[in-house]
Amino acid sequence: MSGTAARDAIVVEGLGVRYGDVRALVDVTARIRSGEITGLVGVNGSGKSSMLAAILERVPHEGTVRILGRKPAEARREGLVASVPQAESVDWDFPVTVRDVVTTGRFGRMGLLRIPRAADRAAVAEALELLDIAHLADRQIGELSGGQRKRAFVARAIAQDAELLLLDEPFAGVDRSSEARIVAVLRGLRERGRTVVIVHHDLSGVAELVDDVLLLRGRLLHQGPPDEVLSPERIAEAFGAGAAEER
Amino acid sequence: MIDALLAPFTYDFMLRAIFVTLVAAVACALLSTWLVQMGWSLMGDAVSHAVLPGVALAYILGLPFALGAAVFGIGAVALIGGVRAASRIKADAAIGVVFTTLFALGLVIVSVTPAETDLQHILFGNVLGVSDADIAQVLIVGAIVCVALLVLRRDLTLVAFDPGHAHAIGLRPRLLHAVLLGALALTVVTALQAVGIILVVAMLVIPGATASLIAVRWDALLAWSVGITVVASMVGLLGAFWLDISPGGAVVLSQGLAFGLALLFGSRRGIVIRWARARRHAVDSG
Repeated sequence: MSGTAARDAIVVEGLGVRYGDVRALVDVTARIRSGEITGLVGVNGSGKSSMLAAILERVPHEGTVRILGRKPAEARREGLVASVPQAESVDWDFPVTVRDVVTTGRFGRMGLLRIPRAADRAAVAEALELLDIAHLADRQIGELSGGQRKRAFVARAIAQDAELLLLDEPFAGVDRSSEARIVAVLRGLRERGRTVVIVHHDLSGVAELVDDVLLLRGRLLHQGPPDEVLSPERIAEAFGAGAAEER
Repeated sequence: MIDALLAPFTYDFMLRAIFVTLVAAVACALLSTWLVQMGWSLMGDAVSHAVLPGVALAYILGLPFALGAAVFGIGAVALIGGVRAASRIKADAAIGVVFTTLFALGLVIVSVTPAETDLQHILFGNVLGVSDADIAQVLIVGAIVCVALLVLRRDLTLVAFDPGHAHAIGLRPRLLHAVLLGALALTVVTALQAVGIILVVAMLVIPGATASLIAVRWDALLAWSVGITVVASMVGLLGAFWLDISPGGAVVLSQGLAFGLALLFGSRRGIVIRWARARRHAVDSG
């Protein structure tokens, strides 16, 4: 493995996603560095979530993806990747408790029957404490508020202790205290050398949180530090005129 | 009085019926929890009907019913996917086209088969006349299904709840879906002995739907689903004995009654419980 490859958590080359006749993402070539928080930013329909799905190989795609120098399937099997889904993709009525959800983060470390050992239970308890939802652990997941639900999924990723964390719209429909808690946890992960990739559809708070931005609009418009990429001209290019003034 | 209550258990045919029905009911109840939570009830209906030509052909060729059911059950699922991909019609329409066509094919095969009486039992069940071979088949197939579902229950539940996370940690959602569909095809074989193909879908849907009105955790959901179906099956079979009515019909009616009770009094989503909670909330806040 080369020195450059060792610093890259994700490398995509010629990445494209197509849904039927609609091209959601075209020819993206980019490197996402290890140990940083990277934001995939753009309007709704700009291909952010499609890019995340393609990195995880959840949708058919063109081009190549490498995660920590490995093929995506290998990285997944080795438990290197954790994901936090969009709220809309979850059935909140499902009969599972918060503790059940967080425990699934440890499945890769358990045997076939997925019976938690002492270390798994301890990791789950620690993650619940970290996200301040230990008191909600035995509640059905749908009984929680939007912010608490999101914290439960971040707790699952913490319990998994993966090298790479992919979050799809982690702050959508989330109250301020939950957002602050999640941001603190993500910064803590960065300090421990973990890589975080966030899909984000608006610009509030992005510059303060991320180290690197990929500005998307069906293709990669720009990549770089937020103070460079999130200039008024480039924001207007990605979001349309008026967005830069609102920022 | 005691003698009258115990009378059904003194008959060999009733003991066989109880054994076959309970094995089938437990397999169906376990599978039912995933089918209902994943929104696959219509798929359960489709596969249960689509196996008819497979079972009929297996009968004609002297092969195990399970083999014919598995081939046509899995084939039906593949065909549904193929029809959707080729025509872009919606899933429910593709399911409706495929399963009714295969069911009709089964009816045609049954109608031209000399031993038509036996095959009629596939449609309506014949739990009071099961042979030793039937019992052996139900036991083996039921045990395979139950063991597979219980061993894989946590992975199956994760795939049902969050397939994205399951995929991200290296599980194979498509393989686990295939396991569920294979279990579905095999479970139909056990249940058609008890209630017949036409009513199998009830045993595949009602227990899971009933338990979902009560349980908030998955293991509790499984326990409630199995417990409810065992009690309802016994009530149905004994009711059929005493009232001299169709055993398959009585079992399904009992399950429907259990659903009705859970709909009213279920601790999670029962109408009465929700009404009482709303009333208490109104009093507290007023």
